Amino acid sequence: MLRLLLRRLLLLVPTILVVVTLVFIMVRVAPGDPAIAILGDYATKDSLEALREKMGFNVPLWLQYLRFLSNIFRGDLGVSMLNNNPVKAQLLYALPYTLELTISSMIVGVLLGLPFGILTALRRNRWADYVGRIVSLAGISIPSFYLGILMIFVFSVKLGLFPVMGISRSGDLLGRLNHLVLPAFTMGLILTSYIMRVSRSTMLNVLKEDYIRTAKAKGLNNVIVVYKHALLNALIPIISVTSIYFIVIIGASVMVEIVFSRPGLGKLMVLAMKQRDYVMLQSIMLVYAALAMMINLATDLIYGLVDPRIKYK
Amino acid sequence: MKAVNKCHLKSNIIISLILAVMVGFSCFYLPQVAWSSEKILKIAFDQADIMSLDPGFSKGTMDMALQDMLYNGLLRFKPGDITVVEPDLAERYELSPDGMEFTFYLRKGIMTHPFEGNPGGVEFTAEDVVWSLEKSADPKRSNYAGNFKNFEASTIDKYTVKVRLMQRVPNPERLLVDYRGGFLVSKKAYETIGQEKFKTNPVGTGPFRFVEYLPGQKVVLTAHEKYFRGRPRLDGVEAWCMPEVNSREFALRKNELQVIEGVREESWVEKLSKMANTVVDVFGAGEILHFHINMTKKPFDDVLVRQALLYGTDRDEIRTFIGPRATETICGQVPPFLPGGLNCDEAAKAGLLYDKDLAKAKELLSKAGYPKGFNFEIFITERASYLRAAEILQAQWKRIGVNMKLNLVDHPTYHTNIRKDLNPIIIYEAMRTDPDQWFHQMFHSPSIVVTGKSPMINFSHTTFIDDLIKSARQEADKQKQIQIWKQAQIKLLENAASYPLYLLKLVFARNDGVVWGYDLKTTIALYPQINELTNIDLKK
Repeated sequence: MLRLLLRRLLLLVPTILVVVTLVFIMVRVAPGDPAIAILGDYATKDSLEALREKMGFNVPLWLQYLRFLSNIFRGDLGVSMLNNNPVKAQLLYALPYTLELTISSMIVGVLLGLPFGILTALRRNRWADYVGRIVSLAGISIPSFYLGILMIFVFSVKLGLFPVMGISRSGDLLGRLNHLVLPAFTMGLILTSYIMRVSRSTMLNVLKEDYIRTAKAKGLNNVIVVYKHALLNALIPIISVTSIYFIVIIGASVMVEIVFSRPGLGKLMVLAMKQRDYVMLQSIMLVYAALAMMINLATDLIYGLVDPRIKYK
Repeated sequence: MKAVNKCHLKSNIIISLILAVMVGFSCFYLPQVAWSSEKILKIAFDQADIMSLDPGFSKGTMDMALQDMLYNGLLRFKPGDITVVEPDLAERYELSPDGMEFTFYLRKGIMTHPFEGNPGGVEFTAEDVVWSLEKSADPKRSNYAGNFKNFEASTIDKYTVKVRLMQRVPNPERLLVDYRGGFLVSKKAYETIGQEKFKTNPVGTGPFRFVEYLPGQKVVLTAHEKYFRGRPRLDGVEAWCMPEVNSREFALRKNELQVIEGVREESWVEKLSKMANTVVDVFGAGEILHFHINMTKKPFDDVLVRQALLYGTDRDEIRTFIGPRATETICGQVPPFLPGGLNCDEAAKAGLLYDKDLAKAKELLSKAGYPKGFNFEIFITERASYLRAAEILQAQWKRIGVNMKLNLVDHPTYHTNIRKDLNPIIIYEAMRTDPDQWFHQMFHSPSIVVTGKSPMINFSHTTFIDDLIKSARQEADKQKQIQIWKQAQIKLLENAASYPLYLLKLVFARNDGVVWGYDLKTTIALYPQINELTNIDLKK
């Protein structure tokens, strides 16, 4: 297990290097002058040149790349080209909110998706299954920003149960939770649909297995057959898909962050892309790559916990 | 049986407890009326984040709105009316007989906001004025250096400043107002905080001072107790970054926000006007949408082709589409509410309204050698106000056989491309406070994109009004100056170098408990100004 951890942590370095190199090239190849994007239409030739010099764009690309790598290895993520604030500070501010949103969405998605997926598998081709499949299809189809607006309209405006926007003051835990409910359920309900569908299909496959028939034939309680024998064997693919969605929703959280006016990495990334803030964009991609690798590692470790047959060399 | 009953009872109790906790939780957090005794006005803008609160750099409505609340200029536009310039930090000023030298007499005892090492702020003096104007003229410290390099400032005494113009420009006082580079900053505060940090830790003299900035979320300001016009009636302002219009609307409805930036369309104005406890403010100055024709690219180098496009354009139809409440007809390159602006009667008298006339447009195209029209392509930005205008023009010009293909790009790419002179037709939205700025930046030959001596936004490559621009600058008689400007606009229309489509006004909605404190007609700050007189009625 320890060797696996070390090996995977070592792999993190070249993987991130490849990712940030690709991002470095892609942002510079994309059309649009960052100096014009930042200074706007009052910019004179002199002020544009002054900014380009300050940002280091008047040196060759290979030199820009080497400076960039050298800064990364020293842990210096630089300053935002837009507002001159240290990128690290901005990321450290936004990241917890993104993680808070994605983790709570995952919790909602798993707590609702897994049981409903099992239910629809057990009630195959009955009304519960039909309803479940229609609801999950709707959940996959509905865009997150639209669902978010609907949630605000119903639960905030009409029922007055939750606030529309923001994150509450720091230190106010209950207020923070209050502001988190609607955004978490917005993303969580969509995740529920995905998890429900994958749970249903894997459960159906497992329920056809011989050992399940044997367990039933032995007279075991239905609850034990489903939760001890079927579910545990169905969990591996469910965990795989869930971890993939976890990585996806970290990036996809931007629409929910915008609708609910929450800070987060997604919003930072979209603004950086729109304004050609290369420094911020590179650093955000670096964070995403690191998160994706760590989630994959955690998933692999969870496999070992869930299925004792899996041994790590 | 007994064991099963016990088991059922246990699970029923557990389920009931869970439900009770959930109900209790939600009841505890039922909406609470914000009966705080503090008067905090919350306003939301259609912007994802601020760029800079340094007055040398501003971009976007929110930056400019916040700077308006944080800083002052030597002079200011009268709140709600940009046709009137009045003293601000200066209590009075004099202009020399030759019109080349100002003497400003500062108010005494103007205190800046508190900052590091100076919890009471510092007094703003003549030295700060001189330093600020030098900063505004420095391209490394200001985006507006082009406007300010013409000024040479010096102190006479602690409260008196002389500002000399190196070259005559019309209405120089309109450059020294509380707008963009005209906002003044304390030298000590700026040097203590540092240029880089100042962008998100500003210190000014305005009615509100900076408290905190939460990236991607909001900027919090509080009342400046020592403001020279008197302590503001509001205790503070929260300016929120909210690019999603539905969220802004819902928050206004729930009174989580009191003012929101709106959508500049009739349908939105109508919708919000019907909302309970809501007032919609539609006001100027807004921005003028022009299209400029690049006269160096074929077939647009032929005046007949250019005039054909103008006759093929139906401004009334465009205004009807966007909405008459959010727009105003504009017939000259400079809006009529500025001195020297050409109004529609004057354009009509000169026969240059170019009212829609498809037959005439086709006739001109035929004379130019394009009886069946022609095709061309342009880059256009995804930004709604530009894209909408482009799509309407595309549909209108199709009627005369001119097919314009739109290549959609994002906004930064659009600006890069038009400054590289890649478009034959350039749709552009802008507002300037003074006619000379319009002409110099958009129609003066040094400002021609790419090839000009100091390229700015002369997309049409206009060179034929250089003499008029120069004459207007040198003319001391205001009335004659105005006539020269009008003449310049006539010439631009005769040559069909550019065509104004409409003035797009600003649209904001507010809770009817918000009182601006002045009569809101026009503002240059891109939002309904919040100043020391603005107030809210908490009960609404």
